[in-house]
Amino acid sequence: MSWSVEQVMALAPDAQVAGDGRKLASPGKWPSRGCTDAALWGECQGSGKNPYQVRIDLQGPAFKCSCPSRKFPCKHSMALFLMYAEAGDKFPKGEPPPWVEEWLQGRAKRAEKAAQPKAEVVDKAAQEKRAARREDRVTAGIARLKLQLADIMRRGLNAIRSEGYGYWDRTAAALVDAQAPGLARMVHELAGAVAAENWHERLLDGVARIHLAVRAFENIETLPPGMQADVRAQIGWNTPREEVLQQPPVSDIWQVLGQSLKHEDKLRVQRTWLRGEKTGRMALSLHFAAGQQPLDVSLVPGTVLSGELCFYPGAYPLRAMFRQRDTESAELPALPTGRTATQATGEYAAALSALPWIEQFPVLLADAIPACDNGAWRVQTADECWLPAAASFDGWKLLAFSRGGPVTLFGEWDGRALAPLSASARGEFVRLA
Amino acid sequence: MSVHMREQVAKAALLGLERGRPELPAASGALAAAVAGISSSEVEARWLDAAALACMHAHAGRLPPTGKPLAAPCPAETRPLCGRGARNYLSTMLSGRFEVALPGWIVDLDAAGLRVPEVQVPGLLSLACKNRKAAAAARRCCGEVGRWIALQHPEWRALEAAEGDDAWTDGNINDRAEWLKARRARDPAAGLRALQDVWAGEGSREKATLLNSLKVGLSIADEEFLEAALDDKRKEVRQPAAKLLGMLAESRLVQRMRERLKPLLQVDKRGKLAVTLPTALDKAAERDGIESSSRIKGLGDKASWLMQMVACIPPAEWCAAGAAPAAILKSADKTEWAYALRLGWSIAAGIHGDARWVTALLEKPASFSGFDVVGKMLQCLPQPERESALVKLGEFEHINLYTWSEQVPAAWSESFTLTAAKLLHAELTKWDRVRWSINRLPRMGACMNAAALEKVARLLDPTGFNVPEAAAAAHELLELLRFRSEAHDAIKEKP
Repeated sequence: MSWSVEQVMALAPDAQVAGDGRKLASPGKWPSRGCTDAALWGECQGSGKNPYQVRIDLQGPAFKCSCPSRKFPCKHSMALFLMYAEAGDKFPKGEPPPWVEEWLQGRAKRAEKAAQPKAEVVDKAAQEKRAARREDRVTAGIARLKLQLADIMRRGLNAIRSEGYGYWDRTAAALVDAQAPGLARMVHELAGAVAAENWHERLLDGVARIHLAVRAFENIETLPPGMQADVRAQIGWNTPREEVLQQPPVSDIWQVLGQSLKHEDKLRVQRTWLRGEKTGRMALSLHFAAGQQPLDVSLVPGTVLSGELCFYPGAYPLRAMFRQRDTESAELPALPTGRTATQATGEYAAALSALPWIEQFPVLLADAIPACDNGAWRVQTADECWLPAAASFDGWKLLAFSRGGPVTLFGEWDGRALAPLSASARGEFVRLA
Repeated sequence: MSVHMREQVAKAALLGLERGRPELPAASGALAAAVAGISSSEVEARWLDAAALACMHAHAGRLPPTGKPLAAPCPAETRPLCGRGARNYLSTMLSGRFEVALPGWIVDLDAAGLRVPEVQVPGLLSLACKNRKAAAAARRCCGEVGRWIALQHPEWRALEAAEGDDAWTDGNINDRAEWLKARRARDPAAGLRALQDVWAGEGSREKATLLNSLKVGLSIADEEFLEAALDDKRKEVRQPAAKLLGMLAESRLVQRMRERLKPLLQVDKRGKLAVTLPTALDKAAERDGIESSSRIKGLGDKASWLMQMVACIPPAEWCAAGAAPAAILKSADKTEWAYALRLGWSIAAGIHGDARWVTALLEKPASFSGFDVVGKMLQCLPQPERESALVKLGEFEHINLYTWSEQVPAAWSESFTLTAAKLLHAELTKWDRVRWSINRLPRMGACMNAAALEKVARLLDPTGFNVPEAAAAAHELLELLRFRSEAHDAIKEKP
C-alpha cells in the first residue's frame, strides 16, 4: 500500500515527536537514504558524532533507530517516513546496506520463531498457590466493597458526593490492593462522574454496574462459562495469553476500521477495531502502553490484513488477539455497509443483555449525515434518528468530508454518545480520531 | 413505566435509605418480573439489586432521538480536485512545517483552477482567517464545500459574510471597514452612499477608520463628501479626509494648494527654481490639513508647510515648462530647501503614482528620512524596476535586506533572488548583526525564485559558515526553497 502524509502523521506518539519529525523531514539533514519496495533506511545527523541509523520495515510498519529516544516511533523514524510519504518517487532506490539487511533478517527470524509454539517450564504448584492467594484477596476485597456499597445506599449519593473525589480514589486504591484492578477502574471512573452535569444519573448507573459485578461474582458458579469469564475479566483477572491462543481461531481478512486512544493516568489504552470481511465479526485489539512505552503501530486504520484471531472467552466476545497474521496489508478504500441508528442501538441493547459491562460498542452506520446543532455534533441516519456525538468530538473535518451528504461512519457508542473514529465516502477513507 | 421506577430508585439513592426505608417501587412489564425475583434479604442490597436492574433496563431501552437533517447538503463542485502529491505537500504546510510557503502555493493552486480535498478544507479555512492576503485564493481552492461549511462555523463565517450585509450592520469596526472596502471595489458610489447613510451616527474614531476604506475606488465623485468632512469638529476625522482629497489631482483642495504654492515655488523650462518659504499659515490652509508645527527632524515649521503643500500636487505638474524631474531635482539640491522639496516630491510621487519622478528621486536616495515614504514610492514601480531600485537602496544600506519581502511580496526574479542571496551571505557571515532579524528569513525564502534553488544553494552553502546558527539558518532557507519548488511542481501533476 502507499502511505500518505496524513497516515504517517497519525503514527506519531505525541505532538512533540510529530513536530520534531516534521522539522527533520528534509533531505538535506540526511547524509544517506534509500528504499526498496519493502523497507526504508537513512542516516540522520544528530547532535552526536555518528549519525543515527534509521530503519523502517514498510510491512508492519516497524521502526528501529539508533538514537537514545524512548519515544516510538522516534522523530528520526517519523522524519524518514514522512519524506517517503511526501514524495516516494524522489526517494532514492537501492540495495539495503548491511545494518539494514541484518535488522530485516532478524525481524523475519523472530516472526518465524513467534509462530512456533513455546515450550515453557512452569512451576505448576507455585502458580496455583499464587492464584489461590489472589482469589482470597479479591474475595475479601469484594466483601469490603459490598459493605461500602450498602453504606452508600444508606447515607445517600448526595452525602457521598460531598466527600469529593477522594472518597472514590481511596475506594479504588483499596481495590487495587485487593488485586481487583477492573473493579478499581470502575470505581475510579465515578470520581469523574461526580463532576458531570447529570451526575446523579451517572453515579447511580456506575454504582449499579459495580453492584452487578459484585453480585455476579458472589454467584459465579451458577453462571454459564462464557459469562463467568466476563465477570472475572471485569473484576480484573487477565486471561493468560496462552489460554486465549487456545481458543478456536477465526481466520479472515480483517478490516482495520478505526482506532482510539485514551489516557488513563500514566497508562495509554489503544483500542483498534477490526471486522472480518467474510465472517462480519467485530473484534477489538487492545494495547496498553505505560509511561514512555511505545504504542502498537502495526494496525493502521483504513487497511486490511489477513490472519487468525483468537477471541478472549466471554458471552459476547469482542476482545481478540492475533494468533497468526500476514505482515502485508492492503488499502481499505471504503468501510463496509453499516446500519441505521435504530438498528445500531438495538444491537447495543442485545450486546448488553449478554455482557452488561460493555463500555465501548463498535457501531458502523450507513448513510450517516453529520450536523452541528449549536456546537453539539450529531449524526443522523436514514431512519430519521440520530445519535449525539461525544462532547469532545471536533466535527468539522467530518462535516467537510461528508459535504452534508451520507457517509459510512464507524465509531464507539457508550450508550450515551458516539465517538466517531473513521468515515468513508466516494471511495476514500478518513480517520477522525 | 420502568423509567419511572429508575427515577424512584434514583431519588431514594440520592437521599439515602436511612431517612426512611420505603418499600421497593413497583415496576411493570419484563422489569417487574425481574424485580420480583430479587432475593436479597438486606434492604440496601434489595435496593442495589433494583438499581442494577432498572439502570440496565433503561440503558438498553434508550432509543435514539428522531429529527430531520439540519442543513441542506453542499452544492456540487465545479473545480477538479488537486492530485495526491499536492495534497501531501498541503498536509505538510497545514501541520505547520513551511507554513510560510502556503500563501504563495495556494495562489498557484488557485491559478491552476484546482481545489483541495474536503478533509483539508477546515485547516485551510482556519488559515485563511489568519492570513487575509491569501484568503480569496484559499476560499476558491476550498470549493463549494468551503463556502458551505464556512457559513456554519462561528469564525470562518466572517470569510463569507464580508459579502453579506451582516458585517456592515452588526460587525465590529474592522469587519465594517473590510465590508466597505469590498463594496467600494465593486461599486464605489454604492459604498459612498452606505457610508453617508450612517455617517451622522458614527463616533469620530469610527469615522476615521471608515474614511480610510474610501481609498478603494477613490474618485472625484467623493469630493463633496470629503470636503464636508474637512469641517468636522475632530482633527482625527479632518486629517484622513484631507489626505484623501490630496490624492485627487482634480480636487478643490489640490487646486487650493496650487494657488498657495504659486507665489512660493516656480520652475522654469530648464528646471531652475525660485523658492520662497511661506510666512504664515491661515485658517483655510489648516482646514486643508496642513500641520502648523513640524514633526520632522531637521525641518523647521515653515519649511514643513512648504513640504506639505508640495506633497499634495502631482509632481508631473512641475515639469509643465518642459524640465525633466532630474533637472528640477538637480537645481533643488542647490537650494537651502532641498530636503523639504525632495521629501514633498517623494510623498507626492508615491501618492500620485508617478514612476518617472520616483525613479529620478531614487537616483539619490541618501536624503530619505522615513521608510514609509520610500515604501509607497516603490509601490509605484513595476516589479522589475522595483527590484532594481531595492538593490540600489540596499547598496546605500537605507533599506534593510529583510524588508525586501515586504516591498516585493511574491515571485522574485532570478537576478533579484541571487542578489538577495549574495547580500544574505554577507549578513550571515557577520553573524552578530543578523541575529535579531533571523526570524524574517523564512519570509524571504517564501518570495525567492524557487527555480533558482541550485544557484542559491551555491551562494549560501551551509558548510561555508563558521557559526552553527548561521549555517542552520542557511540550511533552513534552502530547505524551504526546495520544498517550494517540489510543492509547486506537484500542482501540475495529474490527480
